Amino acid sequence: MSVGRRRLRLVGILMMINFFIYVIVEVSKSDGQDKNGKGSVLIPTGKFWKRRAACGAYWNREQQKLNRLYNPILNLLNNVTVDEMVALNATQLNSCEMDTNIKSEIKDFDNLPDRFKDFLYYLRCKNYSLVLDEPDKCKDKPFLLLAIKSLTPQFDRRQAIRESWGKELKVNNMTVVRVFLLGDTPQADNHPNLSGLLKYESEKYKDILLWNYRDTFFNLTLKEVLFLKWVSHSCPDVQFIFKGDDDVFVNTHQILDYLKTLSAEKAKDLFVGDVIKDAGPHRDKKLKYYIPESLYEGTYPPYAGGGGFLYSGNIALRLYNATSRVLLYPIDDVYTGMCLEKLGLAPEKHKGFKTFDIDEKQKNNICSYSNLILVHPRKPQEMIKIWSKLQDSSLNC
Amino acid sequence: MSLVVDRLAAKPMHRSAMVRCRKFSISVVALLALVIIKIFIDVNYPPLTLSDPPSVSPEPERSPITMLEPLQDDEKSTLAALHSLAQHLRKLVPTAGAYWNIEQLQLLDFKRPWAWVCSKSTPQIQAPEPYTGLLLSFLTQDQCRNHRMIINQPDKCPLNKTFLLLAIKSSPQNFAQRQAIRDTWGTERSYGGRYVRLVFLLGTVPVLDLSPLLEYENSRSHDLLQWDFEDTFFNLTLKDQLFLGWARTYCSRAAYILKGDDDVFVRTPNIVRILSLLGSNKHHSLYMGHVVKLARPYRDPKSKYYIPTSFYMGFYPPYAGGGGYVFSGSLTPWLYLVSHFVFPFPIDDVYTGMCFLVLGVKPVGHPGFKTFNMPNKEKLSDCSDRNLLLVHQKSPQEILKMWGAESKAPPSQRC
Repeated sequence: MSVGRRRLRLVGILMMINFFIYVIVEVSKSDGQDKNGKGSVLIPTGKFWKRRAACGAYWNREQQKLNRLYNPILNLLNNVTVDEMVALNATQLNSCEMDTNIKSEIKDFDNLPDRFKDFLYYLRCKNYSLVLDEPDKCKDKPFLLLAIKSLTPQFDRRQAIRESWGKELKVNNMTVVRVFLLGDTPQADNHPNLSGLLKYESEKYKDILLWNYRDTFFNLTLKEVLFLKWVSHSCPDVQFIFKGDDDVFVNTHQILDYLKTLSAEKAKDLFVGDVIKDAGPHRDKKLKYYIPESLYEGTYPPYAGGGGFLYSGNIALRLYNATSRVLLYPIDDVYTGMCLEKLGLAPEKHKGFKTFDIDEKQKNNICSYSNLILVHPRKPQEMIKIWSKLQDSSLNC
Repeated sequence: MSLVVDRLAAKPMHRSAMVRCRKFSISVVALLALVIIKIFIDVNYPPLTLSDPPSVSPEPERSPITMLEPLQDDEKSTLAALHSLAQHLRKLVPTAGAYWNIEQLQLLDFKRPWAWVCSKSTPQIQAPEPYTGLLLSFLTQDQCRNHRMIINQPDKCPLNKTFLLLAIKSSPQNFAQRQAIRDTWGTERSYGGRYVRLVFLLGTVPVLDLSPLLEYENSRSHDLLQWDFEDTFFNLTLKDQLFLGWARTYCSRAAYILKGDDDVFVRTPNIVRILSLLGSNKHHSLYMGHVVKLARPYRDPKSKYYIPTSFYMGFYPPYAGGGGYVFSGSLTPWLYLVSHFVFPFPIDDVYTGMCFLVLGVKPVGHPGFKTFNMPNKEKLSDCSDRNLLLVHQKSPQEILKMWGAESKAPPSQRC
């Protein structure tokens, strides 16, 4: 063997050793990262599907139970169908009795803020009835249904919406109808008794849906579920639904223009809004959106901000089906995201949804409203002003 | 998995010329194995990135009180008397060239007939920066006070037997606040033969049609007074003037009037008790509340109470905080007339203080009135402050809760 070849071999071996060391270092580094990361990675042992990490958080545990219940393969092993299994557990699944066992299920239950206790005691109850209904709202099979989350005392916001972007109209065979979604504000919770006024408002404007659940922040999820139920019963033929808050401005004409451009295929699975991805629960106790570690672990699925989103009637029906398979979660827009995930869908981001407002400088420029779909927040009088300016036929943007 | 690796590695072993070199082949096998392991890990277990969720997200000297004679039929001579009384304001107004000060001095010199005139004029103010927002609209609007009444209660004070009239400044959209007051401390009832009556003072919300709802509300409660002017913060002085005009006509014999905001909690029974124990000298000249002395205008443009130096110079008169104060009903016509000689000022309680100053009625402080921000929001349920009569910045729910807690307590523990 020549000297040259030997050298070459030596160099080759050295390079190989270098590379070898590099690979070892890399592998050990990535392994170390995994260990330091918050979520532990489990290498599958035995089963080929991804096993979820065993969770200590109550919601995750209960959801896992629900998943198993609805798992057709597991049920097949027991020679039952999902429907039979659900029927067997129906009373437990939809119990409206106060859950007294909850204290033993969550270790720090006694230290949780009262709103969590109230929410958890009746976590499974979705059985609320309509006090004020509009059963004929959709008899003309509307093109677009505007569903606005409101609270009883917000009479001025509702009136502003009626007079502006929420006007019921009919253009080119496209009907737009409007409902406000309200819960109960019981006197037991020290709410002033406005039931007479609300009933009068409902008779006059015929756009109030009122259920007998307590209208709290956490119960916005119930509002969502009960609304979807209402759609599947009283408005199943609606083509599109916009659901949003009562402090947003919506350019309804822009929505109609956008919907007209959609292909049939896209229209069927439409779900657009201001999409939030890779978010997780807030752990700061002072925040409105605070979720304790003992309640929920992990990240949130992509979801559209609850200020307002737009989806197809078809999805609404499917979403209602999904609501029985997803345990109520205290934050309504996240819950909708979870239900979408169950359907194998994800919300799509649309630039027109300005949930975090537009530039201060652009606020007074009417042209900045002509191309957007939603902007948050706007006061009742601002809504009317913006709307009337947008209707001006001489407007040139 | 090792099987796969072996097979892959085996192929080059047969063909390659380096069969002899076992060390090399072993290193290649090991290398490939490691690379495959690495790829396997990378593909199947992307590093978990748990990114944080986006974060959402003071008093100038004043002459002693002059007891006022009952209002005569002759309004002209009364006005003349009031005009001479108004000269007391000269002590308050520095001669410096702020807009309000100049206008007021002109009024006192009788260069202008009176303050609330129906003329549309744009004020000439020398200011470094143009006025914006509410202050500008206050300045440029018509100073008329003959606004049309939309909702009236001509029979509010039957048989002139009203002991205390509660006149609450509200806004059309505050349905919940009004209902909370009706259901609690504002209930129209008799406290040992002393009748308490309630009215809410409203303007309008432009472009927003709340009239059907307001009409319904009034058909049930009969306690709304509404005038046709825009309900804004700087129109509260106007609201006050319109109310005084109304009270002069429709509730002239009310012994006392409590004027307050719709976000206050009031211990009405306690106020009635205190008022009923007043001596006759105070009975006709009471002006009681949370008294502020030697206050100056806020000069921060961001403040709700901002008054530029170009508009007003000097101290404010001693005044009772507008969240809630009580005054003698017999002063109503005087207060109404004296405002002819006091130039409109955008902050209502300060303006009322000026009017009382002219009348020579000194505000009496009572520790039970808490209309300015307290360091900590006190809880009333434990009767922490037995003297408390009125406290502000309470939500409808808080008002109902506080009232409920008080009425449920056994009489021995009531405050």
